[in-house]
Amino acid sequence: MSNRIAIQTNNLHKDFGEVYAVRGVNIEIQSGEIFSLLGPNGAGKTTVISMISGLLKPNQGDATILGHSITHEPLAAKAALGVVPQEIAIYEDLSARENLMFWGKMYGLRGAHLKQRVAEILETIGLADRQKGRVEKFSGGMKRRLNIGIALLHEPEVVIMDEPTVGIDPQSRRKILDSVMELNKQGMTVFYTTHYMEEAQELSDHIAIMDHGEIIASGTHAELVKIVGELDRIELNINTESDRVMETWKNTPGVEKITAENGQLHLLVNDSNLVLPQLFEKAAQVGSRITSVEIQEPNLETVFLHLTGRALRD
Amino acid sequence: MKSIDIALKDMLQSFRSLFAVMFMFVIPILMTGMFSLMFGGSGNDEEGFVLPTTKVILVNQDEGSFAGMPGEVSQNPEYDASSIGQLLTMALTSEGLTGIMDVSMMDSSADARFAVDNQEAGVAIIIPKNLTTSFLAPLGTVAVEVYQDPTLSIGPAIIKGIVSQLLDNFSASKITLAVTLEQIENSGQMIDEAQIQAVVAQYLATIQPEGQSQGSESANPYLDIRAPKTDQNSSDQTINPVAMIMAGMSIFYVYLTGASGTQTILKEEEDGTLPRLFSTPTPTATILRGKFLSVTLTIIVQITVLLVFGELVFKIHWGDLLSVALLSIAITLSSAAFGIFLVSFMKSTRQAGIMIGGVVTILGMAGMMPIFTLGMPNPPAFISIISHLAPQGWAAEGLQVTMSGGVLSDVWTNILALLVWAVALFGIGVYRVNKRYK
Repeated sequence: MSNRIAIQTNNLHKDFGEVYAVRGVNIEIQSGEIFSLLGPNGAGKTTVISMISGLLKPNQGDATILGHSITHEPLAAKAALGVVPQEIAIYEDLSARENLMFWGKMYGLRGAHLKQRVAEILETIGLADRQKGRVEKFSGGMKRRLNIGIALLHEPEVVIMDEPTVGIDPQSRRKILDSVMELNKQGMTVFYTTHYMEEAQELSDHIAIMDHGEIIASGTHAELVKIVGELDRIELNINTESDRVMETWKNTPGVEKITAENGQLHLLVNDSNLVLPQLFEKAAQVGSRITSVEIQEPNLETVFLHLTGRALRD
Repeated sequence: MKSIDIALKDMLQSFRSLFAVMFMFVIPILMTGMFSLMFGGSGNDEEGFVLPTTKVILVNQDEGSFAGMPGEVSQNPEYDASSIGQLLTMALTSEGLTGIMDVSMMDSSADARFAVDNQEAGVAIIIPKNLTTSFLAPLGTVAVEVYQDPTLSIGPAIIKGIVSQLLDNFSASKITLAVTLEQIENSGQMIDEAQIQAVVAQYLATIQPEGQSQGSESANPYLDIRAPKTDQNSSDQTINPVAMIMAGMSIFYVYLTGASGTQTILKEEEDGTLPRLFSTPTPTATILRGKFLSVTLTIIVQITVLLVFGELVFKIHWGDLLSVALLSIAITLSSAAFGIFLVSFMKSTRQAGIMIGGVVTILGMAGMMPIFTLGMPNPPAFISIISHLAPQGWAAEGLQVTMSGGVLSDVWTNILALLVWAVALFGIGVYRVNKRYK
């Protein structure tokens, strides 16, 4: 990893009329790292990416890609970037090869170099033998791979991937995650957004957690987990309505936070071994019975719960 | 260069779409072909309007004869018909009608009807055996049967008209005879059979040469038709309806292509490929230029194919090459600009699908009003005014002028008007689209 800054945002703001989407986002991504922006749906991740890739103009603030300002040198900034949009954005009535040839030209590639890059990408994404087939007949996973391949054609130094694994099967997801790590090994900087905690945890050198248009925490995985200290996360199911039980458990010593989601209760506790017997006892006092218990080590989910009082998948 | 790449990609997508190809080429050609079949010919000005040739079976069962009649009919060797049935036969098989009907003779009326039922002929004309005798009898009545294939319309209608016209000539003589007899009786005089036959024979002598010359112009017609003189435009409308229909269809579908082609901006926006294009180092202006170029090139291909197809297949002579070429360029630019303009007001392809269809149809109909009223002598002035409110009107008028033999000096106003439309529509459209995507 070099010390060069690949992406830097400076107080980025974006609103859509009365609705604010992004408020004062500051991110710094070093060259050669994988940086994940983690947050629930609607947190503002795609808006940040849209501003960085020049699709949306910020209301305030600026961002630079390898030192090129997105507002003052948009073409130079875009040339340094490869963008993998969240939705598959390819021409279904063209073949895989025709798609790559066209997008390559849009990134300024021509002639023999273009043909060579198209051939290489077709190999990389595993579509060399289906290159002449119309994309409309491809599976979802194949389309996703082509969607990623397009962004790599011009060998960008920085790749932005906006939730590239949404809605695909586990096998294709695994392939995409492996290819992200492979690209990173080759020296590419990857800016990755996701709402899957496991992906951010597995891939990232640095993670920023975003909620309601703001970055609420950032750092390495270890640094983020430290925010919740030694807290344990407990997931419980009970056989009655949760309101009365939650009210009783709130005042139990050692319970730091308690939330309910889809009938399941999530607790952050100091020491699960000490707290759990009390939870069983107090539940019984109000006529409830605990039907299942799961104790988890602190992770990004725990961090998000700790910081927002909500589960990441809310 | 990137504009051309975008244009070529869009064109490739357009020409791969069966739907687009149908609307660009197949439907206008099919529609014209259908009208061509309906009107029974091509659009060749020199050939004029060609009526369909109808297969006719003629059964002459007339047993009567003019023999024994006094006067010219029975005695003059110039008149080779011996009965009214034969007179009708001669008229219907005369050279002048060969382009309209292909007549073959049969003896049996049942066989003739059977042939029509089997669609071996379009019409059977059955002359009854008592035609001449009934005609010669002062109070006799008789009917000639015209038996037709019910699936045909134009051909049998023409045959019926000709037969009616011929029979009207004979009927007229009977009316004359009846009136003459009544007048003589009213005056108290008596008239014998020989005198009656003399009157009939004299009339027949008059109409027989007329019957034989059916289908060609009579040298000394007793009655002449004079119509009021029409204005310059109407008198110039010597263009075949098929040619005008082809011109109208081409213009309608060219403007539809302009609107549908630019709709790809909305489609790409919905598919996410337009935002992706904006994320590449390609300026917005280049992307929009590419879109406009693709529509323009597509329309050039479309208009060229339609004009050449019309010339080769429907024998339409579009007129002076330079005028038609410049007019086509102006039509192309105005239709592409028309598309950009329309799409700039649309938010989605769903909305565009409905709106474009509606607007193109309304403006197309307004612009084509002079074509719809082609057969109307001295059409009202508002038709011309309305047609000029749409670019399609200037385009249709321009082609009408070139097909009538007009040259560049005759259509330069149309070309200029179309270019003004193009600049105005393009300006507004690009301003609005730029505003949306910047």
